[in-house]
Amino acid sequence: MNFLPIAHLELRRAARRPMTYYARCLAGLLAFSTGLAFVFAGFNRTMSAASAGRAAFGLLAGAAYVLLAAQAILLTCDCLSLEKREGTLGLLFLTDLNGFDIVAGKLAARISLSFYCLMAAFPAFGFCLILGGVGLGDLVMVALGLLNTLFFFATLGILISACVWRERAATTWGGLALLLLGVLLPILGLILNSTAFLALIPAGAMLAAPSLAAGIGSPPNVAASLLIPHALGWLFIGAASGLVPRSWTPAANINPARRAIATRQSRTPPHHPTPWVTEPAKPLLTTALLIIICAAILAGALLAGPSWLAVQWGQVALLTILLLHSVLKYQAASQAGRMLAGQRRSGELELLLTTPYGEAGVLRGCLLGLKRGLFWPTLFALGVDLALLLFGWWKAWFGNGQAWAAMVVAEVVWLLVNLYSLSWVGLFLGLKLANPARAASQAIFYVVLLPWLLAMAFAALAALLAGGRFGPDLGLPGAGMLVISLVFCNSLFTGWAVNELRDNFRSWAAHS
Amino acid sequence: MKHLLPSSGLPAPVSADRVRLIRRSMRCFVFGLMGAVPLLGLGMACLALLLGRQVAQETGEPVRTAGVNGCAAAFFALAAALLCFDQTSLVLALAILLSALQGYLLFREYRRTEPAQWNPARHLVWWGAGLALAGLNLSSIIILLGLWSWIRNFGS
Repeated sequence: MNFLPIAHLELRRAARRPMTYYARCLAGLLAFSTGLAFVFAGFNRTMSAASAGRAAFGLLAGAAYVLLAAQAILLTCDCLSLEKREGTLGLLFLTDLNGFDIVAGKLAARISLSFYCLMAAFPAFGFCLILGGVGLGDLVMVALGLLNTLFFFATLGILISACVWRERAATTWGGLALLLLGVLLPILGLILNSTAFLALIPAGAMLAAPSLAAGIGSPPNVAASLLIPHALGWLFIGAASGLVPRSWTPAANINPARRAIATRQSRTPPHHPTPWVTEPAKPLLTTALLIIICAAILAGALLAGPSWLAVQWGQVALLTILLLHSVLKYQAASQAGRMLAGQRRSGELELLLTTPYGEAGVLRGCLLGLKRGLFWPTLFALGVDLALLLFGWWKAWFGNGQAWAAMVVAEVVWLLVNLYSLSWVGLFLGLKLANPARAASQAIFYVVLLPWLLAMAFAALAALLAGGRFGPDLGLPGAGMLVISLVFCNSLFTGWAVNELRDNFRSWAAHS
Repeated sequence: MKHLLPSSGLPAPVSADRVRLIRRSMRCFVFGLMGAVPLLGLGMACLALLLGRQVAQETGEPVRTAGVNGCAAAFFALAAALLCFDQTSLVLALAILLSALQGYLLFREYRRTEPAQWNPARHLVWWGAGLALAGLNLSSIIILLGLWSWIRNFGS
């Protein structure tokens, strides 16, 4: 139990953050309101009780899986690398702690928030038992699957953090791992109907639950899908424990190729100082990631067969558009959060503010850097959107494809609005928090997730007012409330960020 | 000897604050203008009102908003009661009356109060707050009427 001092220190730090308390209340409230809405639907005979129970169970399990996986990997992927950059990891090795103690202490502290959120939300799964259609075995299997998901992604994040030095690399690799193991692999497993794929990932244990396995041809083996990801998690911990004592010095992380590129860049005269001072944007990397996603989806769809693709092309196209847009939004938040955070921590920002460029010049430079980093990836995503729009329209013989075209256009408009908002909110939160990972995750929460949570809360309230009667009557007000909450959150947080950046830039830059 | 003291040679901090104050006032007007768009400008309207309050606090302007808020509360209570009796046209007439009344109350307050610190862009703050308030009222009425029509359709 030598890891307890680290866990103790980290938990004390977490206990002082208000978000620790708000997050679990919010998770519990959302899960309860969703569960309660389905209970009303089940008892008012809008749906049969069993189908309401199954729908609520599937919705809650899916939402919990996505949120837990994202939270676990994003909270852990920069925890050791941050200590390495700040030089505090070396101090820990002066004590009698070893690599495993540090890794286990960090892991225990970092997963506590996600664990408490899960504990707060889990009683809501009991509503599904009351409604029927779901057995106790389903509940146990999903609980084990969710705990396994938390453990697997948190340990993967720790391993990434032990391997890398810079926060940009940490968040990029974390996001990639989440996309690949949390989203693409389960989708490929379901498309190809392959139990081998599903056994490799923690989602497999949840899909093995009888109520969720109803729509799958061959559900994965329960024991294998529980044991393999769990064993992989311990393997990640072992690897991270072995790597940490060897990689905490800056000398161990110098990449000769990177040094050569940095030297070449430092010789080129700057057009504007801020993009030059911050890390150079890498549009090629983001574009390559988008191309890989498109290729993976296309390969999966072609492997499933042309007859399947002919029927399911709409879902595949929608999935492609949503994945590309999500990656772009994540990149916008991550790049914007990183721009001012690193400069503020190193003191470069204060130096830059003493030059004639001033606050407005620095902000203009940051926005210029963001534009350079996101222009080509956005153009690529818009090209794919246009191709899919035309393909969908052609499939419907141009007569009945208006709904599809309208949906794609609305999603594109929404992407552009979100990119603008995320840039401002990410810049402000990066300056305020001086922590790029937290800035990016908070910006995504405020701009992308909060409107959907608000809309869900409104929908649950409307369903309660309507006595649990879901139906087409709820469609128009629901869509209206969704649009209002989306626009409200985006304009409010963008305005707030602009206001704070224009008013208090110097105060935040000098704030320690 | 008094003028040789170091503090007398420093520029007054008030000037820097005043620049910020004027910028904030102008931003309040811009946010208010965007907030006047019903439904889509809800977030900006909230920000404009918040900025207006902050500017008033900074300049030491004793703004009383009880009358404006009381009018809005009375209107919405009356509108809810009228909608129970299916009097949509009366609600719309009352909404126009509310806007006029709130505008008059704001103008009276603008003329009555005097800030402790001079703000050359003070009128922009009041315009911004007025526009934001109009946008908020309009959005609230649209949401109220939408909810009412949905409940009526749902009941039938």
